[in-house]
Amino acid sequence: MSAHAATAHGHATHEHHEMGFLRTYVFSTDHKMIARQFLFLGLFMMLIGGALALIIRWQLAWPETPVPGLSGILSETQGILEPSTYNMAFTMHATIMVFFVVMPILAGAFGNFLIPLMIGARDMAFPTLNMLSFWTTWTAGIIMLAGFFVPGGHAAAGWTSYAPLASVVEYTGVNWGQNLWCISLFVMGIGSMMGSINYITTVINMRAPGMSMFRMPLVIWSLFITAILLLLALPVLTSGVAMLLFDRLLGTSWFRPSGGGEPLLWQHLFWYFGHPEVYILILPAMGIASEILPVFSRKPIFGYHAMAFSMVSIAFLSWIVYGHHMFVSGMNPALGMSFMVTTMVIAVPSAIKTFNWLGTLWGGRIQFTVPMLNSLAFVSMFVIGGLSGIFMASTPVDIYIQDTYFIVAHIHYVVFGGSIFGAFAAIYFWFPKMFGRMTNPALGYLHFVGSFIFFNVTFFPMHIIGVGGHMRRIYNPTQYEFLQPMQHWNVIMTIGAIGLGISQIPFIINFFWSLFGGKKAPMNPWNSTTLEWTAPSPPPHLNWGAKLPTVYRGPYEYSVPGASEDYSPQTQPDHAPAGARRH
Amino acid sequence: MLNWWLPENVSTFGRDIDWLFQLIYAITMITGLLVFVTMIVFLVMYRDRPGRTATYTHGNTTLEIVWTIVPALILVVLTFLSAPVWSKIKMSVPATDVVIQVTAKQFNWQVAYPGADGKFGTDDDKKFLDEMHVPMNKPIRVILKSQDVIHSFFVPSFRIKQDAVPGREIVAWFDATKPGKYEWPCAELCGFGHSGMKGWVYVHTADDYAKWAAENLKSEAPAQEEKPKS
Amino acid sequence: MRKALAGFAAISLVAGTVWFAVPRSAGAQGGGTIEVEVKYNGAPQVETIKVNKDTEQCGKEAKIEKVAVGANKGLANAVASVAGAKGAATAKKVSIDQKGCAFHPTVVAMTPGAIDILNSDGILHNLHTYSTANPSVNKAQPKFKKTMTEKFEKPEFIKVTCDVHSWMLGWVAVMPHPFFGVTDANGVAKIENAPAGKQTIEVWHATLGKATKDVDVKPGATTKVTIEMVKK
Repeated sequence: MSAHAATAHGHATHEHHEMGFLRTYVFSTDHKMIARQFLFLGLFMMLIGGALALIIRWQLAWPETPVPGLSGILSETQGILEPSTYNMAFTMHATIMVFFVVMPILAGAFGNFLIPLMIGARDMAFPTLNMLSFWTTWTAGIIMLAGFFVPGGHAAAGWTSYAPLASVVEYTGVNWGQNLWCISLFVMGIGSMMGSINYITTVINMRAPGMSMFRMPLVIWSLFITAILLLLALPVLTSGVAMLLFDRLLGTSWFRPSGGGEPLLWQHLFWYFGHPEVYILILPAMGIASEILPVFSRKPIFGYHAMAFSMVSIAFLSWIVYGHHMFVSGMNPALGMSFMVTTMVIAVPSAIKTFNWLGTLWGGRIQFTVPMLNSLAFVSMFVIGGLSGIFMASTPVDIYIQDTYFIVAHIHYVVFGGSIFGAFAAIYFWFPKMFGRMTNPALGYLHFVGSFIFFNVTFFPMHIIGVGGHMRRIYNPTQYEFLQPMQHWNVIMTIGAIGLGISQIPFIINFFWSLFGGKKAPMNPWNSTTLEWTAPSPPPHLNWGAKLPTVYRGPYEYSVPGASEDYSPQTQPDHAPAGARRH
Repeated sequence: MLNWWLPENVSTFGRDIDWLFQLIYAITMITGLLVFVTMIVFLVMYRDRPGRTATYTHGNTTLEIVWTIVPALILVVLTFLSAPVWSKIKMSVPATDVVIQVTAKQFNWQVAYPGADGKFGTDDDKKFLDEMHVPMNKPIRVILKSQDVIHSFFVPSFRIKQDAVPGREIVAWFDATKPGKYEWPCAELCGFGHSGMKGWVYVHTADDYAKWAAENLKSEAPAQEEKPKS
Repeated sequence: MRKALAGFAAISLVAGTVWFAVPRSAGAQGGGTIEVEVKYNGAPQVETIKVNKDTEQCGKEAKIEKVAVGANKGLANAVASVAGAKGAATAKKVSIDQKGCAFHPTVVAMTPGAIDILNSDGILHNLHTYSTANPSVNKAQPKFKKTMTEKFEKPEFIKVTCDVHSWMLGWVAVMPHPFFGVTDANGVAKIENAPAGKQTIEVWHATLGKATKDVDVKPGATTKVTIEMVKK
């Protein structure tokens, strides 16, 4: 089912005229420009989210002392964080990082950039919808940031916004902040829906001749599955936040017991979205690692089909594990039992993926480039994040570690150690294709080493204090006698976090310096096999010249015995009996 | 510096939880070490050197099956070991005569003992704030309620955690095995006063508890003027 | 100790009332002073509760005074005012202090405007108001925040609590005019410079409700009136 898909692509060659500045850089329908826009949005938001993280860490290490640099903003308290400001800080840190950093960068930027280029399409199936999707997300971002400036402060009920804390103004004293939080996520949900429909349609309909489903690079598989999850999961959140907003503004009482509502309904809705969301955040990074490891091991991915099917099964299982967030919530304990079973099951495909990545390294010719190092960091940090998840899967153990820093450690190993290192890997790897320039490797190594070390200094001790019972979301740990002996860990973690923040400076310099002054990138700097490397760097509007590439083989044909080069591009006609899997 | 590991456990089911924790800890540590050692060995052995060629392979079905089945088996075993403990803690409540009602409220634990009539919500309830007294070696049934938002009953030394949800009465239990004073924080974000919302659970020997109960739970003279309770 | 505190509060209140009543005398011509004595025949209603946190500041035991009765059955913490009177708001800013984990004074009366919330304890308190006419306030006051200013623009009796120390209970009486007073420990309140002529004195108490009595206010003189509250 492949060859005819892209031939019906009518506008392939016509109207290649110059477009104005606005059409090229701002209201562009070109998937590559939209990808860059998503990338900039995500990186900008990352600065805000990161600054919030440092504020949180400062308060935890040295509670109720002035935060350096905040005396101007919090002039009333000379820069000391109030409890409500602290709650706002961690709520917005998580909200921004999840919805406006990881999702725009991984799904938004790389989804947009890679899908057409790697399946051999000239653009997305619906370019205008694509543009609309970005501008909707952007609007959502503006609404979210606006919340910082309303009286009463921004949302402060945690990124999970559990009702009734989030649904009744009086309980937090936060008024329009929480409303804007709901509205922003509602708008973002619409944007994400447009994007996901587009991705799914493009992957199904617009593959180049010869690009069968099982010749697709794994990152496209991961983005395709992510899009399906987005399409099915985000609307649940969108409806949920609408209900929350109605509760707040119209008094509907969906979640308020005094009006006949049920607080747990919010948790069911939120986590029904929230657990697939975790995989929305991590699947693209898995795809990225599966892309980069073969390139720099100069060898085919180990177990291509196992990799693809494990992602499919993760996607399927992610719908029936969400209850493990609610083991001690008051949900029927019998349900807890079933969710424990499914949660244990979902660990299996993750294990399969890890072993296959190791298998890819085995017998390779490993080149320690910056994207490779970041991918290796992804794999190893994901292993830690995955293993710590087993503790939570076991319901009795979860009783104890639920709502402690053990959970915080786990999510940061998965989302920072996993998704963000995946994003760094992707940025370094595809930067030459995206912007036509190479990044500076020295700065790249510096960024990687600093980030990797300080990431672990920051987040590993969270396991330790979590095991000691340290609750999450507390403003001042020194208020608790049993936590006082552990306070030095908080200081160590904060120093690590400051180091982690400083380690991003080489990245920022590298990114912007390379954008304008980097070495011009060749068409295929990494000697890679997939289709995007057959287009110029950066690819022009409509990606390829008059003729679309034709695919003859699988995506990871490295070091094929008898081949003249150690890589055999997907477009290279298949005449030698290479033993590649074909369908 | 090495201040870590679980806090002292003083409850009956806490032992089962700790045992499971340690088992999972051992499994994940061994798995993690194996993965990291393998990875480092591969990275060193197969690093790019002049003249090295990569092995051309697409995988190995036997290996795939092995590393699907082995983790699956381990997880099945873990599930079977966890299920009875879960069922013991959350799905059954042992018979007991000590029943305490805890009503959480921003940002305090309101504790009530039923008084002579054995019922809650009557005038002879004995009320305490952020303080609970229980006898040791006896199951304690706690009826958890909330007046406003969701809170979570957490006593680290008892390994117990249960959310208190407004509009519901959730029954939890524990059986403490050592006398002492144990910190009792709220574990679910409940607003700006969440941090610092805590109480103390006092575990007494049977004799001490009887003494305490005689002083604090006995109804005073029935002639006492009926106080309007709010 | 408690009496001394209450006495101090009462004195400062009366002093305050006098202080801000004087400069306004030009406005209401020929006003008189009303000395309202509020009496209550029942027993005091006081609940004691054992305190388990911030004991350094709060002490080991807290008292919730639902009905405080002083010498001669005088009812403390009642607000006496001239019903239906009209007058401009006073410029004087009032304040409540949170000291020893209790509100001082327990009942504060003010004309619409701003009020300072002080935190002498230097621990986390929060101001939680239960109001219908004014927007509800629920704000943390951390230890380093010594003063917070809130605005109550609509006349109303507002219940004030602190959720960190659930026994703390106070009231802010926002009055539509400046002719009011809060009774001291002995049940006496003075309304200075009240409009002369036939007036109705209204007494409000948080637990016991309202009572009224007519009085003839003579200009330039002190009119005494005694009002008895009944048990609800």
